[in-house]
Amino acid sequence: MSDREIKVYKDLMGANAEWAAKTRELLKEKGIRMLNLIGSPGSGKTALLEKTAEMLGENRKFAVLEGDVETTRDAERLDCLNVPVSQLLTGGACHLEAKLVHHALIDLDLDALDLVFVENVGNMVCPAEFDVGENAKIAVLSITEGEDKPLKYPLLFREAGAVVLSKTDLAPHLDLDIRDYEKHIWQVHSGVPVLRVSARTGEGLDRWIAEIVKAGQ
Amino acid sequence: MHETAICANLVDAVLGELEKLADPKAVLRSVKIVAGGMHQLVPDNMNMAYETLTRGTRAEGSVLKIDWRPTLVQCSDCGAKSRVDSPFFICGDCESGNVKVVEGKELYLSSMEIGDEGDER
Repeated sequence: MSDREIKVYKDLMGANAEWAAKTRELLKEKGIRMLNLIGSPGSGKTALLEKTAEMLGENRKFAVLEGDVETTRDAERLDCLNVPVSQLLTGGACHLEAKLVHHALIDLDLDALDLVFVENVGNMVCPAEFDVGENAKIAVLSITEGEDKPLKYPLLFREAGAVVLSKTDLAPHLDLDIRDYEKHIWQVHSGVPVLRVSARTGEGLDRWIAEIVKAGQ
Repeated sequence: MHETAICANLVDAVLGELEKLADPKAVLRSVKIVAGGMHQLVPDNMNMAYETLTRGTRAEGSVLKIDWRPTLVQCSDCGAKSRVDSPFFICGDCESGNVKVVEGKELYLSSMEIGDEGDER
């Protein structure tokens, strides 16, 4: 018999999408918002969360799902600030998938929370590809990484509901113009909110806190 | 390397479809997937992951074919549909950035080519 072609239609992200939908349903039922922070290793995601915990003080009702390939160092940093944190170790995988996030989420005391941050594995490519059931993806880009990064990794910036431009205190020491970062971000995703922040000096953190408080309501 | 995770899903889907075939002599020659430009898949990484993950399975030796689909945006200002060939997500007609991605997010297994054991390819 000669070769024959069988037509099939199988979504290759189908299983991930089902877990993401389950998470979204659970978050809605519990009245919790979930933000998925995505950026390079060293872009300042953990520092931003540390400052967030400090600034919100006793009023905070958020938890962090901390994704890393190895080590619990980031989780320990947040644990010191008494933030409920679950460490998700991918053991080599470069991104978090919806099933892992869902299982970590149901282990949290959800009735005590109104906001959950997912700190994804440091990587600008793969995490952008995987829906983990979040309400919004937040891209974190530090100004030491180069202003062309939004053009090189368009999916992340296209998918992001907001972009945090971090380490802005370093601008005077570097040969750059922060407006070039914004220009490139908006060429990929016109009009997306860009928040300039420095976890070191506190610049822009008020706006960041206002945005996440709004997100948690 | 999101290609590896995507290929793992692909191989699961392919093996599942092969299980459904009544003919025990059927062998898989090739599989075709449709992949939109938004996924930024690297062909070499896809092929390497596919070859590695099919080793020792009924899909071993089959070829992965990729039907690439361009990223298309529709302009919310002038309504035109255009192809995104540069990193800029702008309307090809009026250059507005007020656009929505309407195609380019596809990622699915579309067909499988089956032959019989012992037949020449």
